[in-house]
Amino acid sequence: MKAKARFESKLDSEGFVRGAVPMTDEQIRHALEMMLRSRAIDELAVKLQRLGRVGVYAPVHGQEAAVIGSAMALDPNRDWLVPAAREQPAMLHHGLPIESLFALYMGRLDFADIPEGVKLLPRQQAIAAQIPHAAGLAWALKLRGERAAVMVYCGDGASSEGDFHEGLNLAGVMGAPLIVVLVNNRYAISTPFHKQTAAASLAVRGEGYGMPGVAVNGNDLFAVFSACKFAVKHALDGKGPYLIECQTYRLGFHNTSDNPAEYRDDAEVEAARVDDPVTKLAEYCLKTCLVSESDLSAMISEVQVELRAAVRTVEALPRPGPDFIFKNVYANLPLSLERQLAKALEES
Amino acid sequence: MGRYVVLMPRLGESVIEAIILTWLVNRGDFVAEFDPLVEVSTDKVDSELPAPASGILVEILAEEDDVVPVGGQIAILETLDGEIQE
Amino acid sequence: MTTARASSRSKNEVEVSTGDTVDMSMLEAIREALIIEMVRDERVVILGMDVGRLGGVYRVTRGLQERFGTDRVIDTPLSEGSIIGGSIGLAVGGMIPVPEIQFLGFTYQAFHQIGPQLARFRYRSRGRYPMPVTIRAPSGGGLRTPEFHPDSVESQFIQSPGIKVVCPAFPQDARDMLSLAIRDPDPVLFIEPQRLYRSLRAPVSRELATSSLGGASLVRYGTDVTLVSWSAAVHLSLAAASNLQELGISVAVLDLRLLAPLDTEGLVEAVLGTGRAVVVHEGPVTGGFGAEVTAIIQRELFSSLAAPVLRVGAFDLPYPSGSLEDYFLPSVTRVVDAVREVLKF
Repeated sequence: MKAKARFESKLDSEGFVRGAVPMTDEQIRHALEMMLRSRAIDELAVKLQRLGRVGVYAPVHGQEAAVIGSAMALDPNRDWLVPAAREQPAMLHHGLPIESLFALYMGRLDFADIPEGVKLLPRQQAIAAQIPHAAGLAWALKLRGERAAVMVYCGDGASSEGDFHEGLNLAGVMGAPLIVVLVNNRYAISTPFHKQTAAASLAVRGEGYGMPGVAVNGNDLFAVFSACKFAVKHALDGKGPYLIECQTYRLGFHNTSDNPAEYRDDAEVEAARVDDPVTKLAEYCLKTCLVSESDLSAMISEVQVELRAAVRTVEALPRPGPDFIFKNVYANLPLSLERQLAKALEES
Repeated sequence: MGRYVVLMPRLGESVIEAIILTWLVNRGDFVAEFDPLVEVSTDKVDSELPAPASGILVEILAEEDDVVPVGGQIAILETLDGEIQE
Repeated sequence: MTTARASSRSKNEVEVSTGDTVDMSMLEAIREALIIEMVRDERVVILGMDVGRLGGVYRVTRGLQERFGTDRVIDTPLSEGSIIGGSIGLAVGGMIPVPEIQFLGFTYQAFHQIGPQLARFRYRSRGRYPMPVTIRAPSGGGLRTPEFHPDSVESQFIQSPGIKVVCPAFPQDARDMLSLAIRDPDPVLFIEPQRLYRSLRAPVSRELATSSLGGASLVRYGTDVTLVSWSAAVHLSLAAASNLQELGISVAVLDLRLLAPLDTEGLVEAVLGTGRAVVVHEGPVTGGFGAEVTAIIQRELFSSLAAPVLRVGAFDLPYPSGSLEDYFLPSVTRVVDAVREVLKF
């Protein structure tokens, strides 16, 4: 497939200028670096999982433009980011240190804290449960008169959960400054989109909650960025929530315990790989001379050095002892738990 | 020079063993840390195991088609860092 | 506090009176706590279905929206999941939410947001995001309410470490413990015995009588048997104790007040005083919190017990139609019989 010299943004919503590039050169190079880093983190984390050094890992593979384009529309000093569980590069962009990310996956949990001042919530394992949280958080900002937005991520699978409905409805009624980035990667583990819903699109649900809903090409970094920038401004201007469905494809497996060959054809995956957002952006940057071949090679090597160093730093950290699991159950440890802690320490 | 004994890792939550499919490095060759070392198969997932460290593959302890339990020894790497590792 | 009452207009508001205490119903005591905290801290917000304009289906929050405004006493859509889930977000955003679930039996609709989310949020975030959220919910039988409305399901939240479960049985405790629950940095499930909302009146001190949520309270002294109870069942226990008194049996009644964290020392002390215990609660016996209390008593006091610990609760049935609830709920007779059985050992 011939790479286009000019990165076309194909959008189904009004208000977007087709064909124009909404990012500065610096932003585009930064996005490319983040995409390369995300892809490298995925590859390294999977290898580490195969070596028993990382627990279960879910790669972002294929969704990078949707996740990064949206995160870049926020101001990390002002806005909040509420992840689901497949937004590693967005979390990093929003202020989570790379060592904290690896610490999370490598069981060094006392080094995985979200730093004070980083407006990020922890990852959520219960699908869609984060949506009412994000709605409430956005509502709080409005009640307090703070001019800021909340971006929450969810997937096509999450759109079937009650929390999606309840959270979006609450955000709509309260006029909360919430941007819902629905990354439709067409699979919820093995469940393909047409078995998830009979609807042709998820963006149309926005109207059901009294908010605008748009579908964008989730592999088009600029389209995602434009749509999210618009939605953030909409929220900051006090106009309420926005639903953005980023249509993309999960090129990788669901997670390291998954084998996609059991439920989908290689032919389908290869057809989707043609639109690999990382490849597309790299080609665009080369064609427009934003980066040279040697710049690109340097970026890739630097990312490898950065990641290997982060892994070594984290693996050198001590594993938490049994006392760690007794912290932060309540503000203060109750007497009954003090006794149980003593038992746990005795056992170890 | 150190010896690194490569063990079969646990590839899935309930996986207890794996079959060696294909050695991707020849005996005597150098392999870099995280580069593909061997292909293995379980009933849940087929996987490429990366080399846990950089070194020379000096011994293959499990041949192709062998069934190896999780934690079983599959190879020995000679590494540069002078420690015996497992 | 004087200002709060002097400016009240609603007929359900408490009259200003001289002296150190004011006579209040359970409901008025709860409303009083809400007013105290709403005045004390502007971050406190009340939210739930029908709590604002209507003042709540029991009128607990009557007058509060007029006084504090629609930004602080908020009517939400009919969605328990987002009332609780939204409260989690409000807390992250710096508010102190006091969500109401219209009846404890409807916490089922929000169950996945209570234990797994609200109770664990501080833990999951390793202390970064505390949850100063107080869920208020009425429960308990005796009012012939429809299905789910009377369910006493408090035990189902005990296996969700991270949330406190508070069960006041008297207006003083309702007022003090709700105030303190709202000030607590931890999430609290505050269960209101709806049968007693208007029927139980008692003097309540003008100032808070305590500065901490506290523990169990011996509400009746006795020497032969200790009845261990909470919420409306405390009054059932007191009624049984009166009956037994006439038979020459001296019964102590312990009001646990909090189920989590449980005041084990207070429990042990109260049972040690008699050597015999009967746990009395409204929920079905099997798997009820009485099982936990019983296990703790026998573990801590095995060699001091004169008899096995017995439990009195509802039968292990779905809550029947309101008109038949008297067959189902624990009665004075059932408690008296259990005490007499325990005295046979």
